[in-house]
Amino acid sequence: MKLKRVGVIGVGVIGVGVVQDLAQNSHNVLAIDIDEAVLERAQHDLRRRIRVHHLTAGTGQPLSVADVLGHISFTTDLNLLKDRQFIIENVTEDWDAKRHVYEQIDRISDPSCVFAANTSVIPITKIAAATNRAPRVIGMHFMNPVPLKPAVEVIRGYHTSDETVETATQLLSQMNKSAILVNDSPGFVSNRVLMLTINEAAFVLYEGIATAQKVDAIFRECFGHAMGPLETADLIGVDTILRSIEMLRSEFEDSKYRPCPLLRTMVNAGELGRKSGRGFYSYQQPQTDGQGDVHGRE
Amino acid sequence: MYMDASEARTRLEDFVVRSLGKPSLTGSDNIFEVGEATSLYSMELVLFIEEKLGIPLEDEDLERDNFATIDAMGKMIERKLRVS
Repeated sequence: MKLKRVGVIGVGVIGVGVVQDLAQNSHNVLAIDIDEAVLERAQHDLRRRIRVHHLTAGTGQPLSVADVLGHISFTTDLNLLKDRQFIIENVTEDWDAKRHVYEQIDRISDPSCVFAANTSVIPITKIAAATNRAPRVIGMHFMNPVPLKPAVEVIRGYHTSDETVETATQLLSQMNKSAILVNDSPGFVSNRVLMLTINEAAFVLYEGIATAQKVDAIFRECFGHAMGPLETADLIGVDTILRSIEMLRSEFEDSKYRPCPLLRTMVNAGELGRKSGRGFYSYQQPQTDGQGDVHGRE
Repeated sequence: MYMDASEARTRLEDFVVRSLGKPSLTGSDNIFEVGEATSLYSMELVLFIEEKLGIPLEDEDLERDNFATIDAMGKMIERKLRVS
């Protein structure tokens, strides 16, 4: 049986991508946010994203914006979730905010409804404990841009049932994605491995072993990665990287997750990556000679 | 129109190079093949051309071939400015 009625709570950057992907694959989507302004921005953003989706996806034919938007209802009312078969929660990575949402939707939703937490930080087992349906709570770590990613890191919490894993895998299949199932652990696989890689790359730079360009060039040109670790850090945000590494150290109580001092200095200095115009690289306005000022930290 | 095709192309080129962080990008390099940063690129490019350069695009302009390289985008912009 196809899962048709899906709720998406929280329509920030990732949430909008989830809504877009579900609607483009003909699901009936209820998009919820507590903030009317966020919902309005999401609708505006969705129109733009759907209009150009075929360009980046390389799918050829443009989609009908009206048709895709016709699959989506926008609301601030959590009570409308009662007929949903599956709910994907994308609330900000703040435990109190998430717990409050789960306590509410657990009361409102049908007992058979599966809850998927889209998080990169908070343990799924902890989230499940805030509900009375721990076997039907699972983690789905979507990454940006959601409609273009062929796979999702899916996290089985301590109590997550096989049936819930199957349901989540089915929904992803309906979105033309595969599930990569892992067990619950701080940072899961993605963040645990990526953050240590970025942290060590920052140490290499900090210790004067190589410039940022050289570190990234080794990953791009020798390993064939699309981006090097320091470019990736600039894209994600150096503050987010530091927070994630600190979370791993706190959760594991293991000094191997000691953040590189350079990361802290950069955050204190406001050099957060692309979003602030400078991180491991500079993204300042171009010079008058028309040459972009894109150079790396040495 | 407030700018000619040459100025529009220069601004577009600056935008592409800066936002992709690829100073070595040439006019004929395919931007869809130069890395992860291109993933939301279509939307950013269309917004830049429409809102920053003030050149409205029709749905039929939104073909991948028109956006694959800086040269292709420059030609499309030149064409749009000529008929406006």
